[in-house]
Amino acid sequence: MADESRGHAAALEVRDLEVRFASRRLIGSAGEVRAVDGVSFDVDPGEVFCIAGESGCGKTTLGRALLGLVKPHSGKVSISGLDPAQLRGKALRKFRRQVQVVFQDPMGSLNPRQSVYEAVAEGVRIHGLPGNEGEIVASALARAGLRPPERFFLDYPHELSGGQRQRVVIATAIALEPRVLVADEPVSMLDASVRGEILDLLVKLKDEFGMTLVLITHDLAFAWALADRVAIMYLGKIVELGPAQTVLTEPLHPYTKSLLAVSPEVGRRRTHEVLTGEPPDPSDIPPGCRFHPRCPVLRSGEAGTQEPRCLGEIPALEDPVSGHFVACHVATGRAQKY
Amino acid sequence: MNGNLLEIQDLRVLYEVRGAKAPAVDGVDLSLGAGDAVGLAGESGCGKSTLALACLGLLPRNATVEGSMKFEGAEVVGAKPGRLRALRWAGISMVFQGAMNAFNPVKRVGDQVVEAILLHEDVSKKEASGRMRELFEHSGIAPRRAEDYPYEFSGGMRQRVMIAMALACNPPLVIADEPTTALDVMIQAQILNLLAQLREERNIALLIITHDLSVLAQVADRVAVMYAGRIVEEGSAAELLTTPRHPYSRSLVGAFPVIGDPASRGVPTGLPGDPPDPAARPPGCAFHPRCPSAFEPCDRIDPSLKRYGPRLAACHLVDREAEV
Repeated sequence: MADESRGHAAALEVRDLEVRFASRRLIGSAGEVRAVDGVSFDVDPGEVFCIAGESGCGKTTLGRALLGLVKPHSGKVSISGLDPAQLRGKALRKFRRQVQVVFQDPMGSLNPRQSVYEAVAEGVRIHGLPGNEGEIVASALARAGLRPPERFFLDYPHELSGGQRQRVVIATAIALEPRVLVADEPVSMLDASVRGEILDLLVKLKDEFGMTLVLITHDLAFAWALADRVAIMYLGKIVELGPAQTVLTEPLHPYTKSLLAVSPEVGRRRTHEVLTGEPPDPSDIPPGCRFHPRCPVLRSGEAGTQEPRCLGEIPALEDPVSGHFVACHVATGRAQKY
Repeated sequence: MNGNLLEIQDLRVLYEVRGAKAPAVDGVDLSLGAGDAVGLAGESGCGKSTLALACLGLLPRNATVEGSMKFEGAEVVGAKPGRLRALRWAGISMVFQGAMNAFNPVKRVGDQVVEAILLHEDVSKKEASGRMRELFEHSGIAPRRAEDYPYEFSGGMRQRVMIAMALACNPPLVIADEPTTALDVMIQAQILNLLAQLREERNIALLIITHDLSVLAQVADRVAVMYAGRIVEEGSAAELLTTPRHPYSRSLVGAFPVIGDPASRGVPTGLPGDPPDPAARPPGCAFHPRCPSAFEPCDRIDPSLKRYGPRLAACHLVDREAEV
């Protein structure tokens, strides 16, 4: 699928992943929500791969599936040849060491009654890491930018600033030397200056320690600053995937274009073409291209002869430009014409 | 308009903590005319939210307010509780961050808006209800949703209800404290468009408080950057956000990468350190311990807010650059 032809061994492989939830409806029959609906991609070692989209597009569920926190309906995730859905007990624990996560709210990730040292050491103990515990903790804190690390050992989360807290969370994750770090909106709750600080840290982890990062965000400017490749998700499917430079500056999918149009930017007042309505409902996926009810291209009549396909046929993820994938009848149709 | 809608002069808000008084707002001048949209930007703890609460007389008991704040020519500082109650909603209303906490969870949202109208105006329940429906429609909410409870709304819809409620008594000034911070991009754009549209239709003045400068680029005409309780730079949004002059404003602007700009890919942008404790303000310029361009007088002499053409700034560096 998406990028099987990338040659070298991937740090992370996702194939035809589907995650479904039973929907809770008061009236009517119990339905099913397809939160992730057939997603495939590879992430190279040392790459920053960004998954972006609106709330409800399935990006967080996809992240949870990578961590083995939700069980997929079908398809698979593979990290160093291990699929979390197939693992139990000790093997699952071993897997968890390979994939660590940083969530949005550092206060929610840290135990308020645990000191910084204990927070970082807990994972080290659970996974029985060889070596001196104190040294491992100190080195993780230092790599997360808390220097000198010893100064923070006895601090509690409430004594730290927002940025320091998020650094502690990152230290707990990188102490285990994971192969992949999943960061789910790591800065969206942080203040402007702290945001820059955490962004710098993530850049450093990538550049100096070769960390493989999966970044989940709704913030395309953040993706621009950090990502090597970007996947745009809409209603459980990847609709566009490619290098950050091209996806974010020469987007092919109308949804990516409208996301970019509303991304607020300092110093530029954008003329908004805001998609109307709430984010779409994954328990009621439209037929054909799932974006068609909101698609500005379709509404303006530019879809032309492709229109019946937009309404009735699910577009496949294809790459009209090598390495730049898009799932849109109009975009691929147009590219083939020339 | 003759005279300003809101005129703040040398406002100080001091919090008493363990016997000592710490200034959270430390001598701020700010004015807003009818229909203006002004953004107040800065980190957590810079005093921007305290300033907003002071406008509404909603500060906690351990706070004392000094200086002057006039709304439509009448002094607000030291006003009696009854006068402040009359001022809230009808004169100045507020849109809070995290609209879930601003609603009563066990009352229908429509009734909550009607209640606010009835409390401030001598109208019949039927009239109030009619106005509520009209406000809902203006704010992009189907009037039938007035029957719903807060939990039945999504984050964006709830923020719309919050905005409808803020407009209930037709106030000339709406203060929005981080109005879109917890919202998704598309919803954020919808809410910002709504605020801009309502401002235009009703000539409402907006004071938008946020750490997110990209929000101000969308809705504000003028921006004031606050640091450690003071305004350190002020100017038109278009200019300040593209050519910030104070090193603090520069680092705030730098925290937001610009899509398409190669300079903002993978480049460090962070501002190390934390804002100072209001009880222990550094000597000289309060920003100098974190300032990448601090030089000789910065740690001794506190720069005053000076005018440089259309821009105001409190910085020795800006001063030196202006002399050249």
